[in-house]
Amino acid sequence: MRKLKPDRSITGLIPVFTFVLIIALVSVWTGIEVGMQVGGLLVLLYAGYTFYIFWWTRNTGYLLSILYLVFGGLWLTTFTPNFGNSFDPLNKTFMFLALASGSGLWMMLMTRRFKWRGREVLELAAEPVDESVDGFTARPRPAGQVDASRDEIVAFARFVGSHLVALPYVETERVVFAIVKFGDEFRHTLRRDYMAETWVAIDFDGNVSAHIAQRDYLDYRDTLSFDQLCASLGDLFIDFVALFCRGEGMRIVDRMDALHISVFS
Amino acid sequence: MDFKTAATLGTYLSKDYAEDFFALLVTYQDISASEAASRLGLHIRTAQDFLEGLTSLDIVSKREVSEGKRPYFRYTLEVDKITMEIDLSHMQLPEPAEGLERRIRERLNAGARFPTARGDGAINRVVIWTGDGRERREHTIKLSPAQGRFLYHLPFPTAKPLSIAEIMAEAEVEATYAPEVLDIVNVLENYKVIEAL
Repeated sequence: MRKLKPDRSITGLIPVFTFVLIIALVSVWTGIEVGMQVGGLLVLLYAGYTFYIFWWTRNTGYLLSILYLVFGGLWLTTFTPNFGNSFDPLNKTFMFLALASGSGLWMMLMTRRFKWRGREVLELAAEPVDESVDGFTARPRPAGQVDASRDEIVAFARFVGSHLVALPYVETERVVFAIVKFGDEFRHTLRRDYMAETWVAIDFDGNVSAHIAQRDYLDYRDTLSFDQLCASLGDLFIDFVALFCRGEGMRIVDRMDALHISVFS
Repeated sequence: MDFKTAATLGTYLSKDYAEDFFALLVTYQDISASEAASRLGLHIRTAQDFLEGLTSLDIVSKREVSEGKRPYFRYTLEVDKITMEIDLSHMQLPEPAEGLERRIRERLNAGARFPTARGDGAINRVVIWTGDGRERREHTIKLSPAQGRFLYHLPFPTAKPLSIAEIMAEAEVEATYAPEVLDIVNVLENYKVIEAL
């Protein structure tokens, strides 16, 4: 039995719906060729935004996503409505490359290599928590210590970023790991402010703090003990750091995969 | 001198015209409010309030005289030195050691916000809403570094309450900061953000 409520959010699909709507509207007003060109330019712009997230996380899925968006955007901008009467090799090449990179992207999605793991992290954090006593507070909670050097913590940050376990913010005194659920990445990456979000911070002396946002707390089916939940979230990251430092970082990903949470949540 | 008297005296001394006024009082054997006001270019009411204030502090004495049928006061300086001394040691909270044994935690649904200092294991300030309806006001309390570290380790609303001394130890706040920690605990207790059990 999952402790989180089922995810019915469609935030992750908003860009797709928006692009289709804009292409449709522009096509109706000015013709399909202009509609496709405008849509192509928007897709190329979106590729720029995707590159920004890739630069931050270094996740391979985002790299494939950039390729898919660039080739898809170029295909749209070079599209001519000839309905098969002539053959534009450049346009066809872009379409082929977009389909190829799109297939790779789909594979990564299906194998959970291109999935924000926020729901998995919150599920794992709630596993040992049974007590149902409400006690939400907006305060972060000191959650113990990790035995890791500064370099190990920074390397761990790169690891969790590249596997989309969390969005890392490397600061001068600590690294903050913002917990991002599927569809929430837009809010996180555009605002660049984790303070009101769910996060775990590890300072370079090894002190761990955890903070759970009210939005995420209310996403649990039951009113779990907030104190225990924060402590458990901190413990989870302490375990993750320990696994990573032993060279068993992939076990973190395996634990999350074992939950079998939908790839689109 | 008690703090209240010192504060009153400070108010009068801080007036723009205070130095000139005292110069007049030193120069004149006695002076009326209207004479002083005309001499210093003040409103008579201002001069009167100043002199009455100094009278209440026993720096100036007054006697009633009459000019024709109209009575008025003449003021005479009674001191040639003003000394202000406040014993601040009396202002420390009593018996801090006893207060440190109180077991506390955050109150459930306190409605307060605790913004943290970036990159630091400390609360930066506490933001509390007070009053109801149109009278609702946001009240921000800036915290000292020791208070911030202490509140960072304050037990959550449903967690086991800890004594102030235990929280200070956990937060690595030195005992010398006990008075300011107790002060913020008392303030937040009054605002119903912290509960003592």
